[in-house]
Amino acid sequence: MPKFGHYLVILILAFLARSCTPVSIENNKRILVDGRILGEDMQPLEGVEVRTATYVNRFLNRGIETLAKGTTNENGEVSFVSLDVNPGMICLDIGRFPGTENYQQIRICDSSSSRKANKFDLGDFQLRKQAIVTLIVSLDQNLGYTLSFEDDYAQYEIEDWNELSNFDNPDLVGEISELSGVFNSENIRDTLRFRTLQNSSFELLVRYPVNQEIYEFEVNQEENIYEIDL
Amino acid sequence: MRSIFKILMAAILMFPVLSYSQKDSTKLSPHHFNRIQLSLGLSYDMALGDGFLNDAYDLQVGSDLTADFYLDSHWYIGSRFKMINTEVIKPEKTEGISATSIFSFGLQGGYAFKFNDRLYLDLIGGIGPTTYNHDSKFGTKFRDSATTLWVGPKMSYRINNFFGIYGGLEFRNDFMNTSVPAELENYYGDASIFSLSAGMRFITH
Repeated sequence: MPKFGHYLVILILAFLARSCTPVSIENNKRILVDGRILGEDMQPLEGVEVRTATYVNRFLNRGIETLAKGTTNENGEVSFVSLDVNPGMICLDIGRFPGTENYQQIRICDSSSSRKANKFDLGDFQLRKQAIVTLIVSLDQNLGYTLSFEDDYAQYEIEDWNELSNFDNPDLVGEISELSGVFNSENIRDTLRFRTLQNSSFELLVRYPVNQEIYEFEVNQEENIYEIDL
Repeated sequence: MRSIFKILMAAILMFPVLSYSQKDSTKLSPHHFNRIQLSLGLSYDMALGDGFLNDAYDLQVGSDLTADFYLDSHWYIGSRFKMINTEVIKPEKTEGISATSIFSFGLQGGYAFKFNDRLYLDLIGGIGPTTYNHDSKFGTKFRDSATTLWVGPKMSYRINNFFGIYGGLEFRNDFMNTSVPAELENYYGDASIFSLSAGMRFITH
């Protein structure tokens, strides 16, 4: 007659088995990642790291881990070979490493658990430059606000890796981040500082006691300072 | 392992020379139909060419096992199993592979030239599947497969009716089944290996 302890052990083992899904490398397959990374002005970017990655699910260790990576040369070219996973999702990270913090970071993942493509052709892949915004607010009463801006990190989903080279990157919109809070009138001047992308815009929604108003700003430089009197 | 192979190779090459001067009273029966010979040996393997195997790996001493069946006094057919251990010397070229072992199994045929009752030259060729078993950096295993062709001569020396030694050369080509884009065909398309081998041979009467 099984006891409660036996069921508990089986339950724990099942949980451990469920939580430790191994990374299944696909047999007989290699992927070539190839292309050029450019700035918005079509200048080649050197030192940008590109990597293929997959989700790992180990006991006490879950997250995304690198399969292979390469770095762009002085001509912005990157080319490296990666293993593939099957079953498993694969992602292509561009510019997510130190040294490329002045440019946006992009992650492209597929939604399927296997793929036929054995080449990820980036073509000429453009990255937008980051911008730092400082918003100085002068006020004489406590006001609630919501700040909406384009994030310097974006994640996209791709169904067919053969379409990767068709990505028209400057048109790709980053994820929209929102910050909410209260401007404190005791400070008289309050400051918000955040990171977004050049050639983007952001909105500040201010909640007055009787109404709310939206202020729009254009971001065109690397360092941007705005002052607003509420 | 490589020094063991060199000692074994030297001993096998020297044995016929040393024993030639000795008076031989053993009567050796010639090869004939349904005789079976088992060969067990070590091989010193070198990858050739510009492919992944020569670029990213150092081949270790391999082991070789064959079983052959004589169709007549010269021709034989048989099966072969060979294993080659490797060391990854350029991890950046192997995309996260931490270790690789190469296993081959196949069918072979040979023709034995008889110089005298003891000394034979075998010309051998064969075909079979090969598996490259990889350990990934994630702790999981995966494999690449290939079709292998091999060809080469073996010089054998019969010590008595049941036991002999051999040394040989071999060239093999592994036609890889790895799916890669056209740009990588030269690198991953095939792997060529040149081998020096030496070992023992057991023969049924």
